[in-house]
Amino acid sequence: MITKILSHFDIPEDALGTVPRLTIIGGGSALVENHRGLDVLGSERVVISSGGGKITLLGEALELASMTSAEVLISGDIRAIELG
Amino acid sequence: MERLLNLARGCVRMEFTGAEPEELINRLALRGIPFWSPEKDSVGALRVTVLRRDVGGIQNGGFHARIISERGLPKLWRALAHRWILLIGAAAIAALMLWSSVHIWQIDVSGNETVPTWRILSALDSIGVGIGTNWLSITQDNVRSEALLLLPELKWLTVNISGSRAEVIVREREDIPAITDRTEPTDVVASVSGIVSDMSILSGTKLVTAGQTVLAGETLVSSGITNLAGETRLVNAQASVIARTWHTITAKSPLTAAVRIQVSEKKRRFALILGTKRINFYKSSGIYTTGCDKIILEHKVSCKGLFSLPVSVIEIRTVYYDTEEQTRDEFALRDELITLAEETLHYRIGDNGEVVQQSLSGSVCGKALSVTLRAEARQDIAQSKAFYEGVTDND
Repeated sequence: MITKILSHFDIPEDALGTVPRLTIIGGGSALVENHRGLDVLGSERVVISSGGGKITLLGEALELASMTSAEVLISGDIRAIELG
Repeated sequence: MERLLNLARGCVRMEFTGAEPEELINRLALRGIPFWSPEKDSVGALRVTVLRRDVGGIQNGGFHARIISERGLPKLWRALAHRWILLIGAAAIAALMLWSSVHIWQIDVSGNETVPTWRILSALDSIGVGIGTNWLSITQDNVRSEALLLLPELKWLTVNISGSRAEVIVREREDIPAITDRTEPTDVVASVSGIVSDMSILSGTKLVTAGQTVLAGETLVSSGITNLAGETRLVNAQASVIARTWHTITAKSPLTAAVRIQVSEKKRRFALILGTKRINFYKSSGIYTTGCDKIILEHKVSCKGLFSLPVSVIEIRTVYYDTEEQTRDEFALRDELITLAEETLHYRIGDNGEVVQQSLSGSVCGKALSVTLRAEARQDIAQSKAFYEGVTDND
């Protein structure tokens, strides 16, 4: 219902802060906004909870660059992203 | 920049235990505590770096955390707070540097060629610009005006202040070339003895002729001219008199010379200069004696290009040595004496003179080598002499 209303007014879904917004910068870092916490933090796998499910980042030498209650920045050699 | 800011605010490396590392990270993020460089170890402990101001909140927030290390300005300040003597020393040095930076501790003079530096420094000192003067009280125009009055040989002077260094740049007046008074009666006399070979008279009465032998000081051209009516008037006699002259120049030098053979003793003494005061850390005075080299080194307390403190450490190194009489190389010595004799000859005959022929002879007389140069030359022997020179007025 809310999705339909937002679509009607041309407002992006992530504006409400309930669905995640994922930004990849050149394969070297990934910014996840509207997250709900970190589930797994490893050098080859990072799992982040979000309103729309879990975001899994796979790669090598992954590191948590910074984290606030609103966003998580992961840096490293990101090879794959799984959403689910 | 952010790293520097964090160091200024103080950073603490903390180790968290008792929960999953991810859970701890989530809790930190949820509480809005900035952190960086998270690191998990094999037993599940998490190490992160946080700002020092957040440590209290973390420790009261139910985290099992301990501080591993700390760095940054607050730590440094706490360390210094217990070392008050060091703080006082640093403050005293800062105050001394500030005080020193508005005073002149070094004066460099440039641009002077004939006026000695000590005269310029003395004149500046007498108008209140010297070592230890507060340069804030110096007015460029006043210094220039007063210094130029005291030093009439200068036509321009400026004092540039750079930190504690004063650079005095001067320009000297150019000497006005001597003007020959053509109305003054003068004779032309012979500067050296010789045989006159050629004469060229511009004014005056010729007293000698070509082929005649003249002695040094003899009048060659008189200033008196007699006209047809028998009246004599005095003129400024001018002439060029070329003559054959003979010169004998002997140069002598001992065949032995004292040569330094070994260093027998070294001594180092120190003194301290504070502003204009000198404190010697030795008892005896510095009498110069033979048989030693005295090297004086001045180590100024300064940061090159930034500031200099009025403090200098003077190091006096005295190296005593023994000497031994050694025979010099005769051929090299002979060449030196020949060169010396030839230079003397060229000085005597002047730039326009010409050596017609010359011969050299050498002899060893006792412990000395003697070289004699005999030369015949052609040179201008004319020399002006004031007509009234040496004349006593009996009236």
